[in-house]
Amino acid sequence: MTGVVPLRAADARCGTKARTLGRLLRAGLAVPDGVVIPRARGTGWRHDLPPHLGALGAPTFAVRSSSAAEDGARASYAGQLRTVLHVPRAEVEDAVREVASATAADYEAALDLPAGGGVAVLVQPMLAPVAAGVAVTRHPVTGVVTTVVEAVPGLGEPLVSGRADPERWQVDRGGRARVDRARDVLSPPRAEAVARLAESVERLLGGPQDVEWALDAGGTVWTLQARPVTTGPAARPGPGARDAGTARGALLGTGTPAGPGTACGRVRVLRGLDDLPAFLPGEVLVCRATSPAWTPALARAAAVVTEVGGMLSHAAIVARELGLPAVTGLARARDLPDGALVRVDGSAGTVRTVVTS
Amino acid sequence: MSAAPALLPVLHALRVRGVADAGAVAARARLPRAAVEDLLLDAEAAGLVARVPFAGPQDWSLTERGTTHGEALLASELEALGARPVVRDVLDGFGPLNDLVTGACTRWQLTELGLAGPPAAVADVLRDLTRAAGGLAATEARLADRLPRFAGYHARFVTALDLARDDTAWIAGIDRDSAHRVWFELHEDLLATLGARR
Repeated sequence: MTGVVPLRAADARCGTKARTLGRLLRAGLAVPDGVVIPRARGTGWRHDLPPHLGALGAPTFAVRSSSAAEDGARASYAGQLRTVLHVPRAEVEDAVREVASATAADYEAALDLPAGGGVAVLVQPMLAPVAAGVAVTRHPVTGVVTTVVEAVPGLGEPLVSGRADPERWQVDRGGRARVDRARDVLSPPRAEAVARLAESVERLLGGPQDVEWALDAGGTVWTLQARPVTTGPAARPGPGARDAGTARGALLGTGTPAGPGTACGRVRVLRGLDDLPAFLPGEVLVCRATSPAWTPALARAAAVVTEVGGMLSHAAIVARELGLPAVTGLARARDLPDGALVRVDGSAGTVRTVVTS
Repeated sequence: MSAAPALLPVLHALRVRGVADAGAVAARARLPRAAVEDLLLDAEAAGLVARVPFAGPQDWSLTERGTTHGEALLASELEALGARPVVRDVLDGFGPLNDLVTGACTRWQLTELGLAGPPAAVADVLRDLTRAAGGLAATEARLADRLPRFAGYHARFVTALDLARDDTAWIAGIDRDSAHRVWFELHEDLLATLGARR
């Protein structure tokens, strides 16, 4: 068995990300053609890799993890460093090892994967995009059938990691683009081309999709990643949406189930406005109650837990608009251990530790 | 700078909006934008306002210090206008009206999520919200009689309801001046005016 698989031949061993991209590549979509190392924490791939890199013919590479269960948008924050960009050919081997080891215990625990399981790593030629971003084929808040395109200049990483201030378009199914927030990144025909790509991905894979894309100087729109969006309004659920039934871990508290869905993340207790800069995207925001100033942080949270309020509280209403699992009225929520990895089940109203052994 | 008469409306605009750029603060405070930009920079230097993580690059929010300072200015205003009893009275009676609005928004959200026991009809949700608008009109008139800055919530709430008839995102959307957002702002305004926190 070879330790390196061409992307267009990627199968279940190669992780969801690579398998989906392989499928899109075979269907004729523009996907940077690369290779997958299904068991990157082993060593069986080291001698096979250099000839493949030579055949790909690129000066630099993007090295990303492709774990089996990382298709949830919020799961990307559970693991720390899982992507290394602009890697020269001579350093790809080290980058693969780095990504493989970073995608380790915490992450598997967060997603209820068996510890020590295979970590697949994807290596693709590095693009030099003029713009990049995400395109979602449903409105993320209202669920309406329309494609929302977010774009930033250059590489899309700041957007995907939640740090950028993107341009935003809505493209209806008639192909008409309307800019919601202009930042001088895309023209209407370019936004429409991105939306057409996302709609092609939806037709190929079935069901609403969240597509990471990049536009090069020649006008080609490349697909970097495609993930399913669960149907229904306000639904960009966290990684735990499908493991909601596996309630392992100690119960830390029970409150009111106020926003449906399950998500994992690290606890960040915010005692006031001055704590907001300490909050990181993908964390579980824990506070007494939310006021209007908290909405931008909520929009980046994995889940929200409040001490006061119920099903009708303002925090609950905002969380549901954001598609965020929410537990309200959890007594002494601010005593939850800061930094602990927890699973918030907004349908059951529980907060549990995530087992990491 | 605490003597600047325009500081109160600027800090208060940020208190109720949560996060806003200079243009939105100016509109809410009914002040010229250029003056608001200067005030915001002075307030930043004094540690009263800060740039907000995760919002737009031009957006501002209050610091804890700015929140406390704003509450002190609001208390002075309240005493000067003799308005404390009426605001206290309105907040004491706010619960049922608040429940009507948050209940209607919640029923609609759960219907959209497919989680409502019996699904709510949008007409019924809007009927409840319209009933709340009637209560809001009376409440706002009492408040604005003493504190003119409370004027405007009813008009914005009704505008959101009108738009919601064609696009239900105006019920509870967070990306627009939806009915829930206007109501959330009013609730924050009442709490802030009395120096209370959630």
